[in-house]
Amino acid sequence: MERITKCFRRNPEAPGLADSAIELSDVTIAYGARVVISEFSLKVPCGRVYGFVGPNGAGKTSTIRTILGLKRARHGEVRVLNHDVTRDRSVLRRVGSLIDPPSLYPHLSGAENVSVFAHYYRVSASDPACLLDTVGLAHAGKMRVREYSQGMKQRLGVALALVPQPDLVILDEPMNGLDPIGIAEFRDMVLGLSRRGKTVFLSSHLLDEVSRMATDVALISRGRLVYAGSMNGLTRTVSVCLIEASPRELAVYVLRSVGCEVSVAGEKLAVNTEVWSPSEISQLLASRGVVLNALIPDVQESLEDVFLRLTKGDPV
Amino acid sequence: MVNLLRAERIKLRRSLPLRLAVVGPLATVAVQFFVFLNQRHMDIAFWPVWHNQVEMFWALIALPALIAIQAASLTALEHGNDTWKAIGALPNAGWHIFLVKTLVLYALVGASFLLLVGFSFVAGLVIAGLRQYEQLAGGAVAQFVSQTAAMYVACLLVCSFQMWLSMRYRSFTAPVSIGIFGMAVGLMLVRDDRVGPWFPWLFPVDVVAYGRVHAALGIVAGGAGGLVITLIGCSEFSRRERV
Repeated sequence: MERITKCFRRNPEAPGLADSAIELSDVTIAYGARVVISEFSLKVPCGRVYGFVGPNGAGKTSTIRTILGLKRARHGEVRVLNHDVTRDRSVLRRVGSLIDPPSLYPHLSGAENVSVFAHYYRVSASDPACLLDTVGLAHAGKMRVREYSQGMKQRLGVALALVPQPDLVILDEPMNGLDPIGIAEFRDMVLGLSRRGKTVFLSSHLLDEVSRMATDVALISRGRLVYAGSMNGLTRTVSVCLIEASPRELAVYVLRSVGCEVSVAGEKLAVNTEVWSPSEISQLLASRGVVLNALIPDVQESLEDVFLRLTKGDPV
Repeated sequence: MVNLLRAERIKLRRSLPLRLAVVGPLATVAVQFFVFLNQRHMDIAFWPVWHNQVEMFWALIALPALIAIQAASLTALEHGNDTWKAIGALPNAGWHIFLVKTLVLYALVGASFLLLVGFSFVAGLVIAGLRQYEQLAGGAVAQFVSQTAAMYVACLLVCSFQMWLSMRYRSFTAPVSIGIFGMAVGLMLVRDDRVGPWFPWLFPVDVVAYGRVHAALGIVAGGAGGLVITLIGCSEFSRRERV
């Protein structure tokens, strides 16, 4: 990530201090008569990795388009790095973005695509290959983009978002098409940006990945905000332990016979520990001839669990 | 805005619009070259006839088609991959983007005019050599160059209009069809001395076909009209949402 600063020299410009990277106040977004976001307020603090999560059609992309000035809000105020983006577009010079699918020129090479965006952002591109290297495309800089795989295109899209050395990076479904290695590298890159004090606003349907990167999260459903705040405040520790026992059917029978809530979670059993503690469960099963292979106490609720809990009743 | 022009220059590499800028005048001169070769030896002043034949074919048929396809293929670079959303998220005003695209079209069409002049001199010299026509004189060169320059100014209105259409609508077919329709109507009106000179697709023809007054009309209306349509386009694209 340190290499990115060596790749480009941004034209000198006062960076400006911002309280929040993005601030939406009572924003309503509509397409004709169809309102997709209604009186939506959101404040994204600087220097965080902010997950923006919601089902398809919830209004995530419309919100991102509005933040980037591609769509006008029907009502409300949109501020990016303390600037009203509808009146002052110059602030977008400090914002890198990727809206899925990435905007690329397939007849050009990867390096030429970087050069095009370097000119767009008035950045002196000393070495596009250097930036391509940061997203693992150093070997494909001279290859035409039409020959790229889906994952390579996605990586190039991320590289283009980093061209202006942005203070704020807005990424809409950036992990689409990435393989597990690519996702892990992307995660490292996002965390690297965060360590450098950049703000990353990340929209994705890969809830597990968002929870591994984000410090804060906003959950959106049917155009309304369901939750906005820190990840720690969202995913609570629940009174459940996971056990792996054999024979499993006997374990289920024993636990249910003493009033324990048990559900099957893959190869494991999720047991409610509000009445019986994990050690008591262990002793109980041993006394009835059940072999306990593993016991994981106090399971953390996943972002997916929370998301489903909070949006219960909403179409996903 | 210079940065946008530099970006456009990179985007033109290996692109269809760049190839068209060469193919358009080359095809025009090649067609006229073979037409001339198939004609019997004529007792004429070769160079004025040759230049007039090239200019008329260019202005009447090749140029309107070339402008329409050039404009549509220039914007297809963005429409095809929906790169408008990336361009729209840039710190540039919307009218800059329209103006830069229009200037690139002007430049490409201008390059085609230059190539037309070059190709027609080369082909003319070959024909003159084969058929033993008179040598190329300085006066003929000056007249041809000045006429093609005037034709270039006269076609700017159609350039701006085609660019506005091509940016406004995502379809490749719609603006090209309108351009071809304009060319077809021009073919029908070209013999009408009253209406023909006023038809925008025939402004470049005005320069070579209808006499001095209409030549001036073509140059002024084409140039000024191009400016007005560009200003209207800039105004529209500064207000439009970029979705």
